[in-house]
Amino acid sequence: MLRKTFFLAFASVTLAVTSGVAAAQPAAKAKTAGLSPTCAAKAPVREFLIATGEWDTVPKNKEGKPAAYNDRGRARAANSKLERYTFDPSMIIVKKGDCVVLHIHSVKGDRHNLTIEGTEIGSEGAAIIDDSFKPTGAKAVARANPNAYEGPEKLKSGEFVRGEQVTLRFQANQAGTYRMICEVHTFIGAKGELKGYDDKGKPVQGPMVAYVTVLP
Amino acid sequence: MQRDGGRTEVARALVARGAQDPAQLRRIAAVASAVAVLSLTVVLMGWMLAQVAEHPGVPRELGELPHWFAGEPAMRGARERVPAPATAEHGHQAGVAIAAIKPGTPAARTAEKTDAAEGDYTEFRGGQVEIALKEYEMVPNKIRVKPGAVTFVLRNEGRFAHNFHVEGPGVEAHAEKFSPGRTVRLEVTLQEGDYKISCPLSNHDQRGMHGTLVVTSKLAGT
Repeated sequence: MLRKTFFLAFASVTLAVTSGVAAAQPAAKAKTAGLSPTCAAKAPVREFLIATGEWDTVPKNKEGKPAAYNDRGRARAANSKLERYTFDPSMIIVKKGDCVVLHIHSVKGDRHNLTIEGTEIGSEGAAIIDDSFKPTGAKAVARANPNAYEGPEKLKSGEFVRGEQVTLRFQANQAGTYRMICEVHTFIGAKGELKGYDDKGKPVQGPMVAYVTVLP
Repeated sequence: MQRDGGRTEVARALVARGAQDPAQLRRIAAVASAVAVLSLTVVLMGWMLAQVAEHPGVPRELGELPHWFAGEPAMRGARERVPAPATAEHGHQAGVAIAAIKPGTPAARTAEKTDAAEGDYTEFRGGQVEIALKEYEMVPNKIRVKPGAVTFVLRNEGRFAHNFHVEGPGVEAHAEKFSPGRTVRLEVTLQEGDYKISCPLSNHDQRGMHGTLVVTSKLAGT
């Protein structure tokens, strides 16, 4: 009677759950480490657009007048700007084996560069692309600053300026969270601490960091 | 399929019993389809649970972060990495050869190092100069060496990729960018004089990744 229907339903549920769980078993750990600059031909491409942004403020007292303040344990004089550059989005999530393409548009800040900690992935020599992601022919190498009106006359390798968009491409080989850092606006301590002030106490408008999380 | 099977069987059983009431048949069919929908829902839920188990992207309880989430995978990888296969790369000018070497090799077997011989200078006599690169310094950063062919053995002990640039009388050479945990070699022929060594990447130089290389035939120990 109906018992058979129930039995069939129960059997299919059991089957579905078992097969699902079996499929969910984590894949064997890969031996290759980190991120590699070349993608396998079959790797699925994940593309992300990132803008460089900025938070800033000049702390004021209740009367609306600039006041001296404290930033992360450092005394700052009145009228000094508290600022920090950001990546937006600052969290990129991909799966292991993906070919990751990051297009980074420099909006705030006269120039930035980019390196992913522990890897050789960075903006040195990265291609500069236009609005349709086509290479303009320019590369983020040591060169004359096209925005010399606001920044230094010469750019170092890896630096790209306001209005430029660079593209990075790498394959994610190992699961984990990688820190993507703009070194112009970050000072890294001996143990990897990301600091907003350099070793001379000068603010570097940072740390400017984003995280690339590779799911296993 | 399973629903049809159930229905046929139920109908057959009813016919065998001599039940002819269409209302009763319809009621039983309704119950059977309800059961089918329910079981389908349960199957879907099972599948969804399996999906969630596969991708625990959002840790649901504090303190139960998946092992891969909070670590420093790249750094660990770099530190424990098996020696990279030796690959020859091209130098940027004549007289410069770059080759990746095995990080495990105690490269300095031939180099005779004399620390604090004179001032803060470190002297290398074997024609091989070992330098560790990290943020943001070179260790050692004051070096004395004899003129002639000099091999720089450069270890990246930092967290970022680095490079090595040497500039002085008649020479301007650099290696290829290399990632943490790797060691590369740079061979240059140097004549007497003062050279500047630095990391040309980003702002590493101005943050302190530079040093002085004095090439002289009069080393303190000789």
